[in-house]
Amino acid sequence: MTIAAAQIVALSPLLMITGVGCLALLLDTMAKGRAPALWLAQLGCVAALLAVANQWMGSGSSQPIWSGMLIVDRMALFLDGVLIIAALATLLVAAPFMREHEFEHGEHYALVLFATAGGMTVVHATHLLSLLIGIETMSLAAYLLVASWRRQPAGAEGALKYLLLGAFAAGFLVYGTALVYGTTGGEMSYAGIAARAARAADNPLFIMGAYFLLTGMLFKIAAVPFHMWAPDAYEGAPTPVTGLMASGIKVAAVGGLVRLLGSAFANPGLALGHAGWVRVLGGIAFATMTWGNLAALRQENVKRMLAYSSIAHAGYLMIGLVALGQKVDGAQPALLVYLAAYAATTLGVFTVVAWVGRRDDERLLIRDWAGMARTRPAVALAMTVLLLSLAGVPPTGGFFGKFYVFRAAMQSPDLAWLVVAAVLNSLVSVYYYLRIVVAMYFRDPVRPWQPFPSVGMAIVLFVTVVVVLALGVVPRPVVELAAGGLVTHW
Amino acid sequence: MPQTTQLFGYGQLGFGIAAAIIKILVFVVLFAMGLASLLTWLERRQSAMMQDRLGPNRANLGRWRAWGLLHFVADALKMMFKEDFIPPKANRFLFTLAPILALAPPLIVLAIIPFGAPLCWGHMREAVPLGTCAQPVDLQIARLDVGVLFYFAFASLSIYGATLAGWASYNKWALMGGMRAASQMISYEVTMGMAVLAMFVCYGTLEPGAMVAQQGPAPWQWGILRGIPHFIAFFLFFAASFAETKRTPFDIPEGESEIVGYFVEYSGLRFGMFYLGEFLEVIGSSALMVTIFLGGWQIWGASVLPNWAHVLLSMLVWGAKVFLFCGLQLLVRWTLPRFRADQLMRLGWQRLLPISIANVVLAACWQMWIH
Amino acid sequence: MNLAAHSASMAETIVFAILSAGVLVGGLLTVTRRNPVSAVMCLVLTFAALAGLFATLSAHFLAVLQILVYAGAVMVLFIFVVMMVNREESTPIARQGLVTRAAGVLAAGYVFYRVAWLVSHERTLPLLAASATPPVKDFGTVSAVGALLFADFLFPFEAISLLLLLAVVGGVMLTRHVREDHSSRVS
Repeated sequence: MTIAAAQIVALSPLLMITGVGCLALLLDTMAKGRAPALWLAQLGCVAALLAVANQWMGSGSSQPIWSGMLIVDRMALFLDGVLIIAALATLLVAAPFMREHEFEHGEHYALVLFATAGGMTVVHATHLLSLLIGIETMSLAAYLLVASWRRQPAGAEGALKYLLLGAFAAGFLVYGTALVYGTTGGEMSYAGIAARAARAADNPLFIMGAYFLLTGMLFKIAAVPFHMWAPDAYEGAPTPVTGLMASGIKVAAVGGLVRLLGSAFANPGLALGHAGWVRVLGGIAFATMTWGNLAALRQENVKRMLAYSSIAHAGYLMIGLVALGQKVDGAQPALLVYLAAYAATTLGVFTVVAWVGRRDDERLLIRDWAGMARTRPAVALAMTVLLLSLAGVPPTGGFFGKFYVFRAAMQSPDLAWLVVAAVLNSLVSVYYYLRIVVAMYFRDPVRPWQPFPSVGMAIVLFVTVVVVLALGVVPRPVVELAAGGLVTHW
Repeated sequence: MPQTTQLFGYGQLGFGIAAAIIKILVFVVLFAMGLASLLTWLERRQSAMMQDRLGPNRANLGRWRAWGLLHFVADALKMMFKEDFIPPKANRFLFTLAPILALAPPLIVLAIIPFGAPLCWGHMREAVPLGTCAQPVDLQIARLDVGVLFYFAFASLSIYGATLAGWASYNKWALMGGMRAASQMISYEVTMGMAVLAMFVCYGTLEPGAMVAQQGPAPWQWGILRGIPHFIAFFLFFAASFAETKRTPFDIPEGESEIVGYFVEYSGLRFGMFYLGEFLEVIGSSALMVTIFLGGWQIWGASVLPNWAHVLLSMLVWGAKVFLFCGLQLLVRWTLPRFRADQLMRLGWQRLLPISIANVVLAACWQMWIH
Repeated sequence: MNLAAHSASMAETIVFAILSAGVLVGGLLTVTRRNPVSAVMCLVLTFAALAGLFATLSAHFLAVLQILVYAGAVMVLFIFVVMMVNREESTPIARQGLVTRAAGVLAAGYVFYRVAWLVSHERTLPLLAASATPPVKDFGTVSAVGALLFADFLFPFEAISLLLLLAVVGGVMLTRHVREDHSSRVS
């Protein structure tokens, strides 16, 4: 097999991000200060976005490239765009944050880019090896980023828990790959597995392998009962990194699951049979939503509360996956819209959390947020809009995301109970989101407010709020964009 | 009852087993162990000559002193009769295992080294030009496709010997020596691999027998002079093999005169196994260098001499080359002072490794453009 | 079947039995040793036996790489870290807790039962029987594996180099000396 130039060009966003990451590492060692590496990384993100747009023009339907390892179709490009924007936002927020708290180092920027590269590999993957490598790259970069604030012991603790459980998850992924490879007679590409799934579904080891793969992926999106690492990792990580984990990494993992479940394990016998994954995933979705919301109710620490809310959102996302398994047509675009809205909201929320702290005073407790509206009304308003989006209150992007996913789920009568539970959970979540709003507007400040001035953070906050509101008011364009990215079925 | 020829004819299982046993006896037991024992004496005698003193010359059998050659017999007897002492709190199993892991790998890696020209079965009295034999018996205990990688695999197992010796002795100085040894050996193993990788690219094979077959008897046909990357690779490998075998100037793990090393609690034959293992590693790395870089057993005369004479001549030539190289390694001991640990690590990771990686790229370009 | 072939297949079975016993015993001992260094050495035994199993399957390159990389480099680093950290010996997790041990035995027993079922019914499963083609002549040699790595599996091969770069960068980043004064430059 010779590598045609077209195949390399098709992967240009991924190659660009990886290359710029390596160059940023080099530039960090050679140039004075960290700014050149940061600028290079940001420019690289912009260039990669342009490459994504370029690829979008030419890819209506596509076939797997690189010997069946990857595919460049519109869903993958859509998620690529989301991931690159998440990386850009993280870079813009991380630099002032690190400078303020005095732990800036150039590897951070390169690691953010490498995590994004891993995520992009996951969403492009059509082969279990590519999936595995993408997940591992993304996760390893995430472990390192969580531990990167060396003076915070909570970071090391969170990173260690994430690493240990993530390594187990990778073990499940590999064992599942081995079982699937063996029981399908040597297939690891999604197309091959889908072709043989009907016959292999009689074999309990194949089903076991599929479940191991599912377990590994569920670890990554922090679904219950595999969520134990998430609160500690999210809380211990530096806030911009938490934003990347909650937005970019979750989006990539869900994207990978969409392709895995939507093509490799889409066979009805496998999905809906006596050991079908649709019912199991439905149960896990319910447990995740409920547990996430109930646990978030009792949190005083803003980051920990947002971590649990992120777990709950993974539950809502899984409802979309369940609908995908039931072969509902609108499930996939709905999921993509929800992912985009969720990513934008999460990035904005964590930008605000990063902004409110100063050196030695991170202000992570809800009661420390009291009275922000008096001195910083714009930020408080932005935060309110973002929190309402997380809760799913119209007219925000979060509402429409949930709306589309729930509507897709309602098309299948078996899932009605799940949608009802999800709506109830959303109502419950409004309570803990509004706790922050109440603190900001209706309480007296406990300490004077001095968020540090930062252009980057302001830009990110402004853009995310605009996107969330735009998605809430005119969701149509994004839905069209997302609907153009249907996964190729074999 | 099967016929003898069916079991022991050329190409049959019995023939292969008998041939392997004979090769092991000749090469490993006779040559390697013999040379290792000789090197224990040669080390002291050659050092004495370099330092203008007498060296060991007392061991005798009656009136026959033989320049102190019998010292290696005396040493062996002394070690065998010493008290077998295991420190009270040491981990007995690992304490006993460590010398085995230091002695066995250097013996195992000798399996892939070709030590003579192929013996032509059935035509031993005729002159057989190289490469034309119908039934060759390769003078190589195992002809593996992965060849030199086998050497690296088992050389990396010898690291356990040093490390476990340091840990199992229940002695903090030994432990630190063991860790020094482990870090040094791991670091230089990478450089060794990279240096030889350039040669793999140039030869196109990993198998030592095939590598020797591509070289020739004359020095300009040897591996080292075939190109610039070959030349650089030789020096990189040479330097790195010193660190692998923990010989001066890289002998900080042993540090005999000033720092306590990892076998400080070992005495008697257990120490003898470490000692012999070290010299066997010297022989092994010399043999590998001769095979890859210096033409191996190649010598003129394949077309004129009867096959058995040619094989014998090639074995002698090969043995002489290996012996010279071992002597060279013993000689370097007294030319440079011992490197400090940080100098050693910096040399390995920041100087030799980048050069060896660049050399691989150079070798690839060389292959593409010259051939 | 002549004597040579018969003794060859019996030898194969014996070799397989010994190597498998090595893998299983090594694995079992690894998780039950109190002494971490003993546990590491038992794991080395497991990997060495596994390399032997690869060799019996004609995957020679993979067998040598298993010893070179896994048993020779990765496990040496394990030993190095174990010796450096030098914690007190403690009862390993595999020997604690009746409930967890029972659950583990049940789960492993179920997997074993399924695998045994698969092995015994191998010929009746259409997918597995169909893929039982004999390997090509140079299967498992360096050139064959190299051709695969640079043709069909080029993307994973190159992508893994990024993963390794990440590991190296992370190792340096996490163990670098952090200055205690509040300057923004980490030394």
